[in-house]
Amino acid sequence: MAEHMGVILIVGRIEDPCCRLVHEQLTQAGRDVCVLPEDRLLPGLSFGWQPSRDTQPGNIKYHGREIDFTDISGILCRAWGVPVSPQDFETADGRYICAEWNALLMAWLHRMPCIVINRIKPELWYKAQLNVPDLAALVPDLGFRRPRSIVTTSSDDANEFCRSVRGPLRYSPLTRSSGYRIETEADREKLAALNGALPLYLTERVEGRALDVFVVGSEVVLVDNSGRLDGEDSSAVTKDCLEVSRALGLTFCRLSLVATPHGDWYCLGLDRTPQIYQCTPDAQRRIAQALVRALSPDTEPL
Amino acid sequence: MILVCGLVADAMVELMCARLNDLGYDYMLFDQLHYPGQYNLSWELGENGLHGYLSSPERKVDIASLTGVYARYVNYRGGPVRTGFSDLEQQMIDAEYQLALMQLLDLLPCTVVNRVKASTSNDSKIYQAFLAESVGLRTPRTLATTDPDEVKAFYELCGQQVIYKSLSSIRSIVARLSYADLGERLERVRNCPTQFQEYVDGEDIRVHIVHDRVFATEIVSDASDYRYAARDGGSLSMQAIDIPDHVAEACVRMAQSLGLALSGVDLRRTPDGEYYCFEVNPSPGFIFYERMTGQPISEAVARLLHG
Repeated sequence: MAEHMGVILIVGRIEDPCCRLVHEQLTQAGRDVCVLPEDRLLPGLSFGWQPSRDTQPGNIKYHGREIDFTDISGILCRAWGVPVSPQDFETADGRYICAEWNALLMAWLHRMPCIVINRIKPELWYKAQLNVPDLAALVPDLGFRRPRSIVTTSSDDANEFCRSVRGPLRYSPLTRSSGYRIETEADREKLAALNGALPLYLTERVEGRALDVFVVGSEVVLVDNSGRLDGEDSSAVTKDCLEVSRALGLTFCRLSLVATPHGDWYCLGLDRTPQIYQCTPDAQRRIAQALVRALSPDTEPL
Repeated sequence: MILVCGLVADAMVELMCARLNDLGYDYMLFDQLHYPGQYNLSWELGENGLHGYLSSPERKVDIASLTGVYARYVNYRGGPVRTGFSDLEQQMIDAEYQLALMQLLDLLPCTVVNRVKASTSNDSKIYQAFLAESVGLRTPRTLATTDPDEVKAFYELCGQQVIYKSLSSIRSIVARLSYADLGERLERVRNCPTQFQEYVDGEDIRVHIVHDRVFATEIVSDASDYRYAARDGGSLSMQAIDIPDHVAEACVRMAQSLGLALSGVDLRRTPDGEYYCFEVNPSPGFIFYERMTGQPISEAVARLLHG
């Protein structure tokens, strides 16, 4: 039967455990899978597409294999927009190739009639991780509480914010997902050193149980902050998580949540191309199984 | 209160400030050349929503008082020089400051011309072509490929009348594909996906949409890409025209579907009277068209910002 079910295309990195596990699960279930390793596609990939309103004729040729677009039944895209070598990326031409590849890939994923994880809307093309202000702008009806946050070029305003929060804070760059706890006087001195060099993005630190919620299609997988599957009942957050992913047009994403002792749920961010390397093997397998079900509803994952 | 964000040296910023002055509308210029430093911002997001301010050497404006924002996402080069940082660190710092402003613009409840989140579709011409088709506009037959043989077949399919251009908004110059290009030079497409389109003969029309107002300009030029007519020694003239209602309505629907309060839609009218759409520009430099035709585009933008 497998040969009649179409090819599943995985666009990503071979070292990405998400790509690797989904590939393993699909092939063990007898599905035909083709992996396009994004970091070594160009030159080498032959891609031809004549887009039109109703049909999308075209084909891909890579390492001796040719796939007609009509034979593709599902796509897992975990691309980072860099189809060239790191050396080429350092050049102006290399960066131009990346821009062209992204422009093609985003439009192609949008138009392919098969299952696509993820079909990314333009407002998310350059936002892999959404912070609190991003979520407020893109999902104004977020079902979760948001921590107080400030973005400022004024050290006076930052200090006033620190005083008004009266508790630990988190400093994050706006362009990165990393964050630093601001709690002690030494932390505040380090923060003060940034004044004038960077805008300060500070967030009230919400104390409670931190959870990563992986949304995959209509399923949610809860993972605690040590990467283990969380045994708690997920019904309290399932509906709101699914609504956020639906509002953003994402089939696969990860929400960072905190449940406070008072029973409030806060959302601290969202990742539209979540990594799973930090999860335990059990959790990785659960997420991969959900991805297999979403990509290929007729395939029973192992 | 209206906010104008950009660089003083940008002709569009200069035009908008002049128009706002003409109309007697109160505005603050947020000069990004001196941001941060002379120009600063601070905004807070909490349970009670968004509040904060922007400041210049002369004044401090509460963001709640803003009725509209005109923003130009121009290249940040020429900004404040910070010593002690590598080029990469400097780029990251610039990006942090840009994002501090852009995120605010995405959050503001007033009219913003234009929000970043509404502008990114311009980075994929094929994606925009689908939007154009979805509102009923025609688009040229297109091939996107890395395969030289596909290009040769497409060239013949289109009666040897083909142009090529970038898929993204970078290096976006249109050029005719000639028979001579089909030799060794064509092998370069293996390195980079490229967009080829059937050449559509006709007159170029730029349609500026300001909310639901339509300003259509016909451009007559003998250059493949009229924007570079002067550079390439070609001719260029412009005149304000009316376009059919169904075309104008389609352009408005496309701009609104993207959330663009101001846009520049590139059309071409064939000798048969068909209209083809090529792209939607989310940050159009309409000064070029306004000066040549007298169309009151900047006034329409100013009135939209005033509310």
